[in-house]
Amino acid sequence: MSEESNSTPPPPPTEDQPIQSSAISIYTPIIYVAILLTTLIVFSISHRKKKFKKLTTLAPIFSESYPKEIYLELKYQTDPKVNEKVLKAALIRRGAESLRRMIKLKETEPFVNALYQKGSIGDEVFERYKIQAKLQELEMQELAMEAEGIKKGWAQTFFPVCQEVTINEALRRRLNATEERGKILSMQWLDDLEKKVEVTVQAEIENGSKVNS
Amino acid sequence: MSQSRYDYDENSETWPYFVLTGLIVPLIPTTISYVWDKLSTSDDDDDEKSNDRTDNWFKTYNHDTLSKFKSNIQSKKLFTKKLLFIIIGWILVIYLCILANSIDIPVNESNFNPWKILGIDELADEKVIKTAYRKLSIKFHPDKVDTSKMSQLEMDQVDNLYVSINKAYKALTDETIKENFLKYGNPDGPSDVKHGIALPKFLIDGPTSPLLVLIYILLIAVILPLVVSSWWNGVKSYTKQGLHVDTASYFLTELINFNPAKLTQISTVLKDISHATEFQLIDKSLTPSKVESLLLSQINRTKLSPNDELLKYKVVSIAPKLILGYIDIASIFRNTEICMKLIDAHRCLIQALNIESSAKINKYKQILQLPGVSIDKLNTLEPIYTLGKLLKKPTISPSEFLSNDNYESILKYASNIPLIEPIDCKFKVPGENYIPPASNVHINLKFFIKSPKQLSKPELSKLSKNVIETQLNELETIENLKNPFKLVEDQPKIKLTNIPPYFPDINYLKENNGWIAFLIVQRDAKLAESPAFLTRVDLSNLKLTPDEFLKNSDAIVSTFKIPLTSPTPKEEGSFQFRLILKNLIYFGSDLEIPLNLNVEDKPITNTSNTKDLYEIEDPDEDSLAGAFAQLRGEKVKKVEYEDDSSDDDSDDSDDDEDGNDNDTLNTSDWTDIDTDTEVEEDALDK
Repeated sequence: MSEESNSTPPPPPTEDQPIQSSAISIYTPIIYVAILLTTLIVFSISHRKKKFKKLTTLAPIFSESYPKEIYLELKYQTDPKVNEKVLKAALIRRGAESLRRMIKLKETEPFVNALYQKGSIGDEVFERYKIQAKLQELEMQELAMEAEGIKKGWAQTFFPVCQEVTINEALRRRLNATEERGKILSMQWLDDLEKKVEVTVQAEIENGSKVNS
Repeated sequence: MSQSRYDYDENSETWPYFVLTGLIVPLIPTTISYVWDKLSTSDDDDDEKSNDRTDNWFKTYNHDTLSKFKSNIQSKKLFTKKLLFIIIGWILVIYLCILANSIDIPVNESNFNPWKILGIDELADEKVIKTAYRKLSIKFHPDKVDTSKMSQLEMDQVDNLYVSINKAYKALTDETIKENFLKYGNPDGPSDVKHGIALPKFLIDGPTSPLLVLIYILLIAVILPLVVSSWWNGVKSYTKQGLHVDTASYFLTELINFNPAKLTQISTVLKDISHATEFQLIDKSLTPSKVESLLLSQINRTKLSPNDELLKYKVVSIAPKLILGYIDIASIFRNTEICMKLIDAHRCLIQALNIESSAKINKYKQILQLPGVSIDKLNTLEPIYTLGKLLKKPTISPSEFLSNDNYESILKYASNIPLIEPIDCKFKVPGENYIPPASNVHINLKFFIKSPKQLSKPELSKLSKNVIETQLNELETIENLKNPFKLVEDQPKIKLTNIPPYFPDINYLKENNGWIAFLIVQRDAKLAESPAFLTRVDLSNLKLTPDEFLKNSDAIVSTFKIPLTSPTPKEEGSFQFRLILKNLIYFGSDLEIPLNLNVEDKPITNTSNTKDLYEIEDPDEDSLAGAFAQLRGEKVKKVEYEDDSSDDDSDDSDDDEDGNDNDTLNTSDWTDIDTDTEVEEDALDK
């Protein structure tokens, strides 16, 4: 600016145009924009990192799957190579557990959605639930691949077998629990006197069945 | 910017108004809400005084520490932050008002007041104005005033005064000037609009201006985001039901991993509750196992060290709230088992009873919840299990049974426990006398509140006319049809008739006494709806003597209505439900009613007029033509059997434990109604 004013005749000084006072460098807006952009970028990167870290630290909804651990351990055991039948059995166990979880998730999905809509649960646990559903689907794909790897075409029959195992185990659990339940309930509802009566009745029934046989 | 274009508050004449506005805006609503709260609770307090305090005749095992804790809560309730804000706020308001009043605002164009200048009343007529003007103009005329000894400044003042007197006179008499004055508040016509800053100039233009900039930056860039984010985090970290989100997610994972093979127990639900984050917010040292042991010590009535005892009270006072939050989540999962156990756990915590520890305690839980009764003193050979039996027909005298000197007070406490005696319970669609498909239906329960000492229930014909007309038979007026729940809302809130001695937080009990209602689908024994709370009931029946209740007609009928969120099914049919009412505080005041929902699609009667006369009617269902039509999949006329619903029932209700639903056609005819009072009434009939 100053050089130009030297070469040309200086303009007559007018009171309306005090231009000289605002000597702002061309770099000022550039620096301003640069600072603004860098802060925004730094913020977004750190925010994403934080979010990712949070996602990785989320506790899973289901506890660890022991059948899966057992299968993986057996699969990579080399010293005495594991028998294929054992490996297959372990895979079926793993499949049964995964299927049980899948069924649980399907069963509870409408409830969790309703709770989320009602505002009874937070965002984080809802996120966790969705992640769990995705993980479970991945697990299913992995299972199909493993089954194919052991024997080609097994995947088709593999899942029905797993389902049978799941249902059977669920039944077993309930059946095995009845005795325990009975014990607890009789402890809470029967007096000593009534217990005695029950014991004698039971003994009589047993005697009766012996006589009959 | 050398010349500032803004006016500053140099004379500090504006800022008091500024601060006053900012103060009054939050202060008035808070004061109104505070006074309102006080007024609404004062009724309760009056009632409380009339109650017998159990402290007078019974002291709990931990009486000293517990009563100290209770009185602490009460005093905290009295001196809240809200009250402090209100007091300081009003003191400031008074101070600011005095300050604003004392400020003498110099006369300028903006506050021209002709009456004040002339020293007359605003209502003065022209004559008065003229005389006042004349007097003043003579007195202050520049020629009349002796200016010889005055300085230039004083002379100017005199001139100004005379001008303003003239102006004021004109403003009140001259038509155009008067109009100017009325329109713009200034006799000279509209003046420039001015903008001012309610801060003195030295703060902005002086050396302190960087400080001001710093304050602004702090306010906008730091404090505002911090406040907003902390508020938002606070909102986000609690669910709508007031549960901490971590607690809610813990309950959720527990429910997802619910193992139906395992028996749900009070101890297991207490264990779930003990993982709540709320406990850690009370005290960092409270691990889940510690909380669990404290909760167990509450229901087992064991005394701990003074420090632990204090922690126990804190833990126990918030645990019921968490239980209600857990019920809210479990009810969406339709899990009946957990909900029922949670209610039991709720009552166990309040009454300090471990009903799972032995069969004896479980059986005598209704008696053991009374203050001063303990299992070792009770005569457990006598089969007095219910409050009704104890009060109405004890096999041995109560003093012997309870072996307590204060048995009269105990009996009085027992007689104050409200029981529900149902009259009628049915599904109802407003404005219809049947249940059409896909309609909004509610359950309408009519009942008496009664004391355990009162026998049976009064005959409906003996009730007073007023009760029958307003409470028993609801008129189908437009108002009632518009809001069928108005009748329920008009009933007073349930007041606490007794103060359970073991529970530390009375305020919680005052807010949460009443019944919780679960609607259960008979087919799969799961919850049909989220639970409803019965919190509005008139308890005046409790004060009646047995004779007044039964023979004279002073008894009041109460109403409870539960709206169903989902509409009735689209198809016709009959659906079985079971309504369970459980008292939140007392054992032995529960109710179970089987309910039948008959969905019918009755044709509207006046359609027959518009129907084509020559159209062939659909054949009857039971005719030969009807049978053929049915085979072809055509419509047939339904034949209305008197008892068709009971035929339909038998298929879906095989799993019904009682198998008594054949009679559910007529809802008033309950054969398997399960009230806690039934047993001893049967005994009385014999």
